[in-house]
Amino acid sequence: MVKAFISGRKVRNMDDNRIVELYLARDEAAIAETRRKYGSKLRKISYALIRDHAYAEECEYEAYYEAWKLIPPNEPREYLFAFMARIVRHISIDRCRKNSKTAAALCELTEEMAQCLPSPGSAEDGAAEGELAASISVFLSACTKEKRGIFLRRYWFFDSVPQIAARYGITKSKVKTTLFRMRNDLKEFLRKEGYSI
Amino acid sequence: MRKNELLNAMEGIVPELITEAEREKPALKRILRTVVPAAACLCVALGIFAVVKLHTKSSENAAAQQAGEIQTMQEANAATNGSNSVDAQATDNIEDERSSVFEPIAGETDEAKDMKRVRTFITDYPRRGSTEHPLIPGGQYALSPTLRAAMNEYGALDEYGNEITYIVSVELYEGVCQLVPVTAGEHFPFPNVEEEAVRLCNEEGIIYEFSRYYDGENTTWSLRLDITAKQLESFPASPRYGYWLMLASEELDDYGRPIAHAVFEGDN
Repeated sequence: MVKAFISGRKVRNMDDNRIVELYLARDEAAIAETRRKYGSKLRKISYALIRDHAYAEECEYEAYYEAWKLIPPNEPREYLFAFMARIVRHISIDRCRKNSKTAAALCELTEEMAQCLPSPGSAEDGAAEGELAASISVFLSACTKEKRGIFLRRYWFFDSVPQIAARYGITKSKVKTTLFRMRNDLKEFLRKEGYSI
Repeated sequence: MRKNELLNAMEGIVPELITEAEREKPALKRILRTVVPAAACLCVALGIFAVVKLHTKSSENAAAQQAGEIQTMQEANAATNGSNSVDAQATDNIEDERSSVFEPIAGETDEAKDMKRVRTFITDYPRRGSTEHPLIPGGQYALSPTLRAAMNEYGALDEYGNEITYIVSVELYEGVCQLVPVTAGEHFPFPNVEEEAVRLCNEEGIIYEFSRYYDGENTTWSLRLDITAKQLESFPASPRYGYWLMLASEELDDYGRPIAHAVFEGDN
């Protein structure tokens, strides 16, 4: 993309559906197209957690490799970015946990999320984790678009509070207040859903 | 569930929500929500200001045009009605008098409209603030002593060397005042004036017309100059070359004719 801008012409990004078709056809151009279209965003997600450009780039490349293995059988034609972002997010969290130097941001996020945790042992298997994710999705869908965006930018994309404030054009204190109230609301919602706190 | 597993659980959130959170640009929308109404208000304010300004300007133009039309109509009426009575045209303002005599008649061509002034070379000196009024077309006037004396400077004597008694008549031709001195002599009474006028007219491109009419007893000479307003501005301003208003006073000669004299209108 950068090369395209430097050379004075804008390269049109390929459609997600066509990129997935390339994956399904086992064409390595799929990775290049994915990187061209979503590479910077994926690196940004990884860097927000790891705070190291080299590690973030490694996570990005690892995500391409994982995607190459996961497609097929998966066919994320309509949500390729979410699919790739989920992979890079997962890899980044794992790498962050293994490296104590980069675990500070993760600890901060974990502590924040601990306010709305169900009781220990209530989600020990993968199926329960999937149900929890579905419940969170229901909770977020019921929120306003702005609140939902703030919550996801913080706990999914790992944006800092100042970054969220700049993105939404609001103050940092409002971001913090919104997040605090949403955590409490989520806690209450999970309690009603049957998760014991 | 351990604390850090919640972050893993969030990975399972519906992809549409993730895509939506990535694509939306709320700050830009917020800015647009603020800027667009402000810009719209500004545009409306500027539009109102422009309309008001345009309306004011057009009103001023209309008023000026209306005033011009009224003035032209008044002048035309004055020129028409004035032929009935000489005394009825008394006025104190020389500028008004000049306009009433030399303004073009409505309906003229553009070229004719430019020909607004007549210039005579009958010399006299300015006399302002009197009760004189313009000569009325078709009227018969006697020359004032000073005017007559000025004419005599050009050798306007009859063949016996006696002072000629002049009678001035005025005609209005296509908006131009025509001064017609009437004399009993055979020669034009102002030979130097004629020569000078021809030279000057040729230089300035002024339309002029000399004519002589002999009825068997008297010879009538006339000099008519059609001078546009632009030519008038560039014309040398002096008592010799300035333009003159032929005005009639309330004094009468022995034959009961109003005595005419000339008032110089110029910058000097």
